[in-house]
Amino acid sequence: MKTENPQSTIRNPYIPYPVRIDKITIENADRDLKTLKLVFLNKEDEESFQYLPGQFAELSVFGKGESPIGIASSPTEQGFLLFTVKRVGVLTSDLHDSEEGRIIGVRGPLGKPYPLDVMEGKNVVIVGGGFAFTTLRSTIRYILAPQNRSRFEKVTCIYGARSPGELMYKEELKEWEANPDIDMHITVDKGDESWTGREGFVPTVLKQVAPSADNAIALVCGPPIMLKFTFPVLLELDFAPEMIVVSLEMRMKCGIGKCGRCNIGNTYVCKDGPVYTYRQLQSLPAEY
Amino acid sequence: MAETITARAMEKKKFADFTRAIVDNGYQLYGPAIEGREAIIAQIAEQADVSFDYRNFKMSPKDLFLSQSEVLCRFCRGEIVPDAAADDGRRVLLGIRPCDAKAISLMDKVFLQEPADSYYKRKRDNTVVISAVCSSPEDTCFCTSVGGSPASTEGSDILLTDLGESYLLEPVTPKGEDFLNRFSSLTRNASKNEVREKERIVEEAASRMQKMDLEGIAERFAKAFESDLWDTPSQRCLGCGICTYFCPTCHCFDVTDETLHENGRRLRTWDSCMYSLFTLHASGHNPRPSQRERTRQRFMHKFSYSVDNYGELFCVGCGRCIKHCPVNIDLREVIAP
Ligand SMILES: Cc1cc2nc3c(=O)[nH]c(=O)nc-3n(C[C@H](O)[C@H](O)[C@H](O)COP(=O)(O)OP(=O)(O)OC[C@H]3O[C@@H](n4cnc5c(N)ncnc54)[C@H](O)[C@@H]3O)c2cc1C
Ligand code: SF4
Ligand code: SF4
Ligand code: FES
Repeated sequence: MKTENPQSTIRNPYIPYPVRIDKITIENADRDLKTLKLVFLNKEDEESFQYLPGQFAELSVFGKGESPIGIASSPTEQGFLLFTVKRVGVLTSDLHDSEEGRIIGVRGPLGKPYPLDVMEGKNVVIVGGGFAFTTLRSTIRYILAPQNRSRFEKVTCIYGARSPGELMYKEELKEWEANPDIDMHITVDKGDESWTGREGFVPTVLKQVAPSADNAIALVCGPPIMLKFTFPVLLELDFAPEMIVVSLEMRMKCGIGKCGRCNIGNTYVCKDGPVYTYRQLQSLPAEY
Repeated sequence: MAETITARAMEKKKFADFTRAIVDNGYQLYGPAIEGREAIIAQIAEQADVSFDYRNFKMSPKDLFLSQSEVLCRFCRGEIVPDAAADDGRRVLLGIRPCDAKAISLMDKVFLQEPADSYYKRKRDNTVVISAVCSSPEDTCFCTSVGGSPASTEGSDILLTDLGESYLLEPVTPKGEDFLNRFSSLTRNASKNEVREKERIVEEAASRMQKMDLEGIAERFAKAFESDLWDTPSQRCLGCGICTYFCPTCHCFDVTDETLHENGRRLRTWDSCMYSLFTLHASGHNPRPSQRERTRQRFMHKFSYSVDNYGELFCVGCGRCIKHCPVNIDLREVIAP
């Protein structure tokens, strides 16, 4: 008989790491987007949480449940994790009602990151709309980090929100607009009296900016309607379907390919995704 | 097992000694019990008169590996508390049919794949599976159409055949071999005749099942995604989920938290892709809005996606979904070429 104690050899993938909410930032005028800065309670946990832009984690509150949330921080930012959470239901509301100092859980990192190896040596076009900009923020921070910048060519970013008040990460947006390492195009669907920037939907602005598809790869994140109108523009600009990358959402529970909840066709968004190329998307059933 | 040398045999009159020895060796013994007119699998006492004279268990044994409801962890005032109650008992699972044993081997592909599910793995490692060759398939059975057989060994540690006067015991895995060695005083080498008799029983049983040719079903289904193949079953389907609860390979689960005052627990419970809430997003969007998409998902998962992902059909032909569907949806009609 084998005398093996499985508990001692494998980590239980369902148990979250304890983290402290170090800081809460309200991101938008509607006050339904908050960024949580989380700090690990244990150094070993922080060391085992090795992630890359595009991955997500399950945020966990015992008694309320768990939610998959994209990691908004970049691994180049040490000592904390950032998550931007929209208030929608039970768990996200509970997180919104948190005070700094509260202990919650984080389980991950989960899923596959953006294809950084493919992006290397290429022009990177980042197209984001609404609050789905989170993992794109991670990507921009990652690329702009001095140790990484030379691995990528020109970086162009088009980011849009409904109104000026809905733009997230405002301080950083200002910094990036002044940074020659990235070409920023910020737009709002409709401006207000004080808005001096661009107006227009993301796909329209993308068309105007018309980044070259030459040696380029596009990362796209946004609400379904934005995706629907953005893909044709990118194709028109001659981006190959495999050079258009998107991040998908499905309802999730386990996050590790066991509970059967998040599949689109033969792929599990939690473990095979959430990052897919448009080429892959074309071969999947439209069940998302 | 091709090697007849390794096959053991046990006189029926010694079987009570065997079950007693199993219990005395510190195992919990799960085996056949009769509940009303149905056979079920239950923890049995050492002296129980065990017979394998049933067709199949009403419910599959999946609950013993993926519990219908199971505590993932306990917490108090929002902080996790160590759970001393975790049951590490070693178990023997006696008398499940080869189809259900094969289903365990399919569940293994999901739950033991990295990162391994620690709850499942613990139970799997602690269990010796002794399956019993099926001599009387029901008219809803079709294991031979989905790559199984009344004597398939996948998922079993030991394969048992009721030969009338004696039992044939064939070790399948090293674990099963070790186990039989511990009780070698109760067994003897099987004779050639006994092995031949088993083969006859298996052939007899297999000949009673209709065999469908399901070659290439994964591609056939993938092509039929937008077809009317799903119309009939989905129009009748009530979305009750019974088919998935009875199915030995369905493994979808939900995770929920329960609290009472300051204490609580995080639970996982069986769930079903046949329910509308299964994929409903917080935004109200539902990628599978009607029973048509959900019925299709169940079939596609078992006969197409699982082939892409694991190289296996996730149906073992046990027929339970056919037997228990309240509106008589017969899966065979959907998968038939
Ligand atoms: C890969 C991925 C990344 C995401 N990133 C972000 C992000 O960065 N910021 C953000 O605010 N939101 C993000 N979401 C959506 C977020 O997970 C849901 O809004 C959240 O789970 C809703 O939970 P709730 O308890 O507040 O809502 P409720 O409606 O009360 O949720 C009940 C249950 O439904 C599940 N659920 C409901 N909707 C979703 C959904 N859309 N996706 C997954 N599970 C769901 C949850 O598991 C929860 O247990 C992401 C989703 C995925 C899949
Ligand atoms: S048992 Fe029958 S009615 Fe119920 S969900 Fe399954 S197919 Fe539909
Ligand atoms: S799909 Fe039906 S016949 Fe196939 S294994 Fe599941 S319950 Fe048995
Ligand atoms: S969330 Fe459980 S399988 Fe993807």
